[in-house]
Amino acid sequence: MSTRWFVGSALCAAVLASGANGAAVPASPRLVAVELQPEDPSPGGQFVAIANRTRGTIDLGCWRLHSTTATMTIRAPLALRPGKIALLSPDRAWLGRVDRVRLIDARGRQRDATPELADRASDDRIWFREGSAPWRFGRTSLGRGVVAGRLLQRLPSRC
Amino acid sequence: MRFGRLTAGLAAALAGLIVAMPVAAIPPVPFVKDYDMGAISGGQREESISVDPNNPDHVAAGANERGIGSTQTWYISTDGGRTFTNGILPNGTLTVPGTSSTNMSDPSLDFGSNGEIYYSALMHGGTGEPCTLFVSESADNGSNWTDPANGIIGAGSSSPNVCQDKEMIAVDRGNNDNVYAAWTPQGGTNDQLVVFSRDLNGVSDGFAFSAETVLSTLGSGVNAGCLNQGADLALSGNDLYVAWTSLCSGFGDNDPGTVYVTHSTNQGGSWTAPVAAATLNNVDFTSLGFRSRSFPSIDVDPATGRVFVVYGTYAGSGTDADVMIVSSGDNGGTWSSPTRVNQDSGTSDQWMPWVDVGNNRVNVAYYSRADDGNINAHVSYASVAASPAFTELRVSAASTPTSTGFLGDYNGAFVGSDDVLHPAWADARAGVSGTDAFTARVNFSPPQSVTAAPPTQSPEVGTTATVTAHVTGLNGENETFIPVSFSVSGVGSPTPASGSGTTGGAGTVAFSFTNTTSGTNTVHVWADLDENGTEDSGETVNVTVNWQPGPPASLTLTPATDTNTVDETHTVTADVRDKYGNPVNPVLVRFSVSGANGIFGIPTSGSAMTSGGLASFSYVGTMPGNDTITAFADFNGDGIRDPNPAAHEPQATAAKTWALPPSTAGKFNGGGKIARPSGFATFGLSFKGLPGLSGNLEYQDHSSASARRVVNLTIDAYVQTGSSVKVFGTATIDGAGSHVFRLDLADNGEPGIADTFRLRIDDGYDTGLQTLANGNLQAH
Repeated sequence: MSTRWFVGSALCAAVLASGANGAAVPASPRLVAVELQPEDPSPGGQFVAIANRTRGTIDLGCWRLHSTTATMTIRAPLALRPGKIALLSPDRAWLGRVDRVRLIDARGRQRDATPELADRASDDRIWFREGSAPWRFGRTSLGRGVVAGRLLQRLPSRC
Repeated sequence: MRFGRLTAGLAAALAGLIVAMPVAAIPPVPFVKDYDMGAISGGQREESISVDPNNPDHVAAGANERGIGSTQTWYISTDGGRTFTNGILPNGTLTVPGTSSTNMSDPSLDFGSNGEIYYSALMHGGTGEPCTLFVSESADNGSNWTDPANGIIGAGSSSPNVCQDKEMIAVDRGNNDNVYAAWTPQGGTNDQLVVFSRDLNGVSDGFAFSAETVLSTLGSGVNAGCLNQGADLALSGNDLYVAWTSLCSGFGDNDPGTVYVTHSTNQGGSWTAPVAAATLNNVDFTSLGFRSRSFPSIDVDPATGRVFVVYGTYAGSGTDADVMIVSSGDNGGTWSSPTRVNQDSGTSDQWMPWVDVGNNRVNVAYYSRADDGNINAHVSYASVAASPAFTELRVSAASTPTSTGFLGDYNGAFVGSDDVLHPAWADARAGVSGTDAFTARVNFSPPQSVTAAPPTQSPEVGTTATVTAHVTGLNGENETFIPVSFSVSGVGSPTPASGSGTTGGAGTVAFSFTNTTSGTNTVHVWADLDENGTEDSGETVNVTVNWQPGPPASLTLTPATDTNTVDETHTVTADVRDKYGNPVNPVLVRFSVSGANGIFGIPTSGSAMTSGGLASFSYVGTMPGNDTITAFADFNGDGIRDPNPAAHEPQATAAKTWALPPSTAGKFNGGGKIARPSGFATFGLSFKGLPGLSGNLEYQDHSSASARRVVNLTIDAYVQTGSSVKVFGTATIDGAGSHVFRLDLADNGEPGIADTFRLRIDDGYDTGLQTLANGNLQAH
């Protein structure tokens, strides 16, 4: 994979920059991208991306993502180093065309949430945000080297 | 297969030619040219393509259409994949439970035995909603499609929620056009398993697909918890294969997976236990802005039965996606070690492969970022072998930016019986709105030469000359749909002076033109062998048309009138033309003289062949007075003029006046006897020249055959040259009339027996030149 591809990833660059600028380092990972309505209904079309903008590695295993109607659990372990993004694909569809996502840690605390997002087009446009900018709807790249994770419908026993 | 193979050496020599898009005049081998199957707004991606086995010019493709109705766009070509018609696949009366949406995804196409196009897709709502899998058929190249509601392969449901997903179909043309389908239900009893269904006899008796048969049974039971997806079918004879990827540890980027293959020999009635053909690490570029998958593609070499499977994986460092291939020579029982298809040894990605085997060649189409970091369609090809040694080439003439977004879950490729591979991919090069479905002609036996016949021809003006161009390929086969232009130069006004067309089934295209001017036209024939719109060396040939004049239609004599002095030579020229005014060559022109010299002209008739349309006749008029010279074109050479215009024997006359020569001074007298054929003649004469012409002639022919008495009336000219004299005048014959006479006398010494006498009279009487039998002529 070429360097250009990696550097060109807007979201990843934004994640790295916020730490390097000396700005306040958030204490929590953030939701940075949500695909509600992919081009076709195959599994993995929907996804949620979480960025670790903290200074420490975070194990997202057993964290949960709530939609309006469903809860998915992040398969453990999923260690996310600082500056990295976890791309979480579900076993099956769990987000509606109009939905919001809440990130709940393993201890049940809400760590982040999206506003209500609407995606009625079956295409590859997604909701995303860069740095402190508001959520936008369009195409973007998370960057190569993101960590792939999986969302499970059932709560795993180890959680 | 109908085409021979390249030798290894030749292939190696050509390998260096094929990295860049070809610009050479004679197309290299293989010759690549890409085509936008339809410049349609929105996005068209995730292509399936197939070629009619009975007609390699008949190509059908389909793609997800996004931006108009989120349905399916079909593309059909009847010119070998150069141009396509397109349209939206109708949803007919099909509805999907739990949704009112008519979105469609996942195209798969194949041809029936008679050129019918079978098109499968799934109709669905949003993510998480039911999907129904169907097949539709068109027997008229997309004008009409059967109702998808009558071709349901797997119905979606809302309770339980089942989405029938990611299917492929194959039409078994060797078994009554059975339709086979394999796919992955999402939800329900067979959730995330690969299942199979078949319809016997194709569309001919209506579609009736069998209940699902689960193929992805791993070992003793269902591989619960795994996503088994990306089913692809391959069919050769009665060997039917299905391959898919099983992802049991997630389906994110780099997650491990296994490609399985199962085999049936009874039209899908039963299947072998799946065999792991390869393991992989899932290539998923969702994080880069578009999703991809390590779905396998499978095909069978129809000649050897060897089975090939290609797939994308991180084969090396774990960050470089490559396309790999494995093969099986025992119907999928065992598999070779994987080898890399793409020849890029760097760290650029190659992914989303599709394999098609034919003409003893393994062809793999896929995406690559090896050229410029952006996305291009590539093809690798190799001779059939357990571990093929591939040659790689780029087939997209322009790059797709990496920021384009989703490009679909698979590409397509199909090689026709004409040895042309048709890859299909989504392309978002500059100028394309969104993404368009693209294809290319990867021609392994491209056009190599053009000939034109006849090399020379000689038609008659006003008729039609036809030149036929013939384009042949590397293996001598006729090349169709090659643009050919004709341009005419040379004499006259060729009509039309240019033309163009494309070669037909015989590899030929004809051009006809006419001309009313005789002479030579050169017909310049340009066959655009590389179809780049530019005339290159090696693409042209010239032929010659020598227009021949038509039959004689007119004849003119020059000069039309003239006056000469007797004993001079007069020449008249006939100009023979056809009806368009072209000089006619060669034609025999016959001349004849009538009038004063109709008897005594030297000669009085003649003939000559035209050259440059011209034929001349010369004669000497010996008698004063008026002549008429008549000439005609003796077109049929029978010596007789036929006045019928259809006989093409035009005629003309010229008027000729022979004047008396200027008189001289002198005196001449004498008398004597000359011989006649049946007797003798006697004469006495005395003449005096200028000034004041005078004289007497009395001539008596005593012979029984021509007896006559000639006595002069006037002396009109006296020309003495030394001891010879010519005397012209009028005379009575036997005391009557007034006849022009001419005397030629010579005093050749004494005593006169060498002197000569000749008398000619306008009624044809001629003594001929006679030496005196006795007597004497005396010049003074």
